[in-house]
Amino acid sequence: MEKDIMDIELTKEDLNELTPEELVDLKIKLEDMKMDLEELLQDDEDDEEV
Amino acid sequence: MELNKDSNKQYMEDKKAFELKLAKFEKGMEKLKEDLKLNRRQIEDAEIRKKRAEEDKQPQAVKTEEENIKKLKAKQKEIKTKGKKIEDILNNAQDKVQEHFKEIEKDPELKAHIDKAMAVKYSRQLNKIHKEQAQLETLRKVMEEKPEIENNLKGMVRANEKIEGLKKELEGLDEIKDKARINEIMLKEIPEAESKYKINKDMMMKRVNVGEKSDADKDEERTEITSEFIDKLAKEGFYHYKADGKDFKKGDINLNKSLNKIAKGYAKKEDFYNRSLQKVQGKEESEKETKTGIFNKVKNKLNSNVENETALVKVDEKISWRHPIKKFKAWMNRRNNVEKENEEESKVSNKNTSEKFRTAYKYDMIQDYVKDREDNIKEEVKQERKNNQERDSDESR
Repeated sequence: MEKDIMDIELTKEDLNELTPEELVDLKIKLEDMKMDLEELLQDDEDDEEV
Repeated sequence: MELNKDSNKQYMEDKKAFELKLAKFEKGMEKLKEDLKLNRRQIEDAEIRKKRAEEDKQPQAVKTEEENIKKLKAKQKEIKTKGKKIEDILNNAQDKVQEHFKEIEKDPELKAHIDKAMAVKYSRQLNKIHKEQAQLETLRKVMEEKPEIENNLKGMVRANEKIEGLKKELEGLDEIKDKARINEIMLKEIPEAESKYKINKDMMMKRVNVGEKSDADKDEERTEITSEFIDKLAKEGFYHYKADGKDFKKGDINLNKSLNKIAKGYAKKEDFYNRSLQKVQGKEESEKETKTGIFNKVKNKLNSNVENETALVKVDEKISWRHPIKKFKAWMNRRNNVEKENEEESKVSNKNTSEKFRTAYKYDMIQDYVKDREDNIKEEVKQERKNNQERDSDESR
């Protein structure tokens, strides 16, 4: 999994291909994913404390 | 025309590659989520087995489970390290998107357009969260009235956990060596778990949206609980009782704690999108004031067509400039019309406005912009003619 994930990087060219609406969608998608991830990692930390 | 066709083809290919890249990233996130969820369940199960062994006074079994828990916690650290790496990649991606926004938002028209789009999308996100929050609230109320619904939800969660565990097991099996086990999982265990999930879901759906409300809630408008919401809910990570839980031995699902966690997640997102929306709406307000500046007035009057195309579909240029000759003629006509309008307008408009207009038109950046645009279009026309000539000469041979 690590290799798959590490292969992924947004480039300037990628972003240039997007329309303003798609850029906004991407921004919101990334924000959403970040919140989910934070919650996921936080949960585990909470579990360890119990 | 060929040039544009190739350009369009390349554009579509690049876009597809980007979408695949993003889908791969989302898949990676999903896998991390599943791995963490499964790991947490395995730790909880091992803790339950350890506790049972302690009560049954079986020291060897206690030791085995302790070692098992140690290994599982090491595995959890490993998964979390991957999670941190994903977080870094996400941060990096967000920085790049932000940088890109800063760059394209230098154009005030485009900035206003983006702010508006963001406000709409944030509102939609908030709306979606509010709907799910309302459904969760309704579900909790209905569960108080009909405790049997709790059992249906637990049944769905357990069936889903079973399916996820079996799918994980399948990943580690060898197609030839473990054929018998694969068949057992695919043909018996997964269908059984799916059937258990469906039975519980059907019963739950029948119970949640019908029946008597408690006296206190008679006049209340309750949100209908949808099938999609129930499926989403059952796939969330549910807690199971900890060592100090009274139903510890059963390893029962701790619904209250789990639903509190889910509600907390909604509240966090709601807060984030509320703040984001306020930020964008605030930006929009201040933007309205700056838009009254001379620069925008001149741009609107002189380059309304060119400016809109450049600003709003800047990244779609490859597609939109398919017919350069027609575009050029149309643009010239519109430009002539705008100039005529400007001449007429300048006669009737008040002195201050026309003075500002003339002053702004003297700005080099405006003139350069118009000149650049004209040069580009002329270049495209020239290229198009050249291509046509080449094609004609090829055909005549």
